[in-house]
Amino acid sequence: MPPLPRLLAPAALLGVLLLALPARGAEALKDRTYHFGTHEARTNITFISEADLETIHGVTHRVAGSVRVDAAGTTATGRLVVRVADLRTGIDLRDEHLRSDQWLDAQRFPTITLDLTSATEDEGGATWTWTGNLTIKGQTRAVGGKARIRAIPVEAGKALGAGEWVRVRTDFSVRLADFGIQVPEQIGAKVSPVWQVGIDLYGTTADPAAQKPGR
Amino acid sequence: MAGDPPAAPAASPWGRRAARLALVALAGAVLVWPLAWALDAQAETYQLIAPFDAPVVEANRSIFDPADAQDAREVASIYGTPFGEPRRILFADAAQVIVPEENRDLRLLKKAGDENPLQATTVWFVARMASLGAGAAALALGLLAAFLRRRAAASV
Repeated sequence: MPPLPRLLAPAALLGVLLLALPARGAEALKDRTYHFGTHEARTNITFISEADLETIHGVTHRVAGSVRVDAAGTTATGRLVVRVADLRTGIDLRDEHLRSDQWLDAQRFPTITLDLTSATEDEGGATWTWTGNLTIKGQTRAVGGKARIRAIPVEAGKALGAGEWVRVRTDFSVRLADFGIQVPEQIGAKVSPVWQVGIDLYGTTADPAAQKPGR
Repeated sequence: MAGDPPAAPAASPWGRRAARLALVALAGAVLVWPLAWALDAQAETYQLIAPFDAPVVEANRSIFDPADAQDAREVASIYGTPFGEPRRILFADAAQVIVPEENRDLRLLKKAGDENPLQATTVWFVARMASLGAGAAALALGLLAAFLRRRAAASV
């Protein structure tokens, strides 16, 4: 009879190989809470306004929030919060306008929130269908779309830091008028009344709050 | 002297100035188009991206499926978040350009939050507005010059 270590060696090797494989689908995500916004260089929330004069490419690299995937790995809920003051379009004066009371009114409504009310895995596991409530300038509207969620393989994730990592990508459109923002007629050539929002985030199961010293 | 043709009406100095300015405005309205065309010829098509840091790029590379190499958005997504569709950009900073090894035909341009690369769309929009403005000015100045000339003739 072969000694036990010799029997276990192939199983251990298989285990290492499985860990190194790209994890896909709900299995890799289930029963976990992912925290977003832990690294600015891994956080992109983009917004695009396409008008005659130019296409405005805006971005923020700061977000706070987390998403919880249930034990079955098929539904998720959570919340993401962005500070209006962190939105950047590439021109300081335009950013100031964006924060003004005519636009996002950062003083009275300093944050934009997306409450994820449901997310269910589509057949095949490549995409998820999600719905949520988006609050801009104090007004809440239902939004939704398809998201691509991909667990980062353990080996690749090690270079990113503590925890298990996941990448979440989705986009949706926002009609400014739905949130009480009217594009003035005289700048209609500069700003579109409908903006495309893209969310591209890396989340980790390592809770950043738990890692802070003194906590 | 009897039999001589009548003298042409003497234009007022203001009339002559208005006529000259009308010609300059008209020339501007026309010349702005070749200028825009010359600028546009300097533009190149880039996919703008909000870039990721190096560890993320490496992680994305490690799980990239080479079968997706012809999918420009998937390739761009290794390096960052693509901003909409590819755009024609002028005077792009070469240091911010990425030529992905997964697809050497693509040109990605890293855009930081405080950058606003000049788009060819903007050049054409400005050219259109400038041409319209200069054309309107040429018309108004031409009418003014004609009016002043007629008034000068009537006063002779």
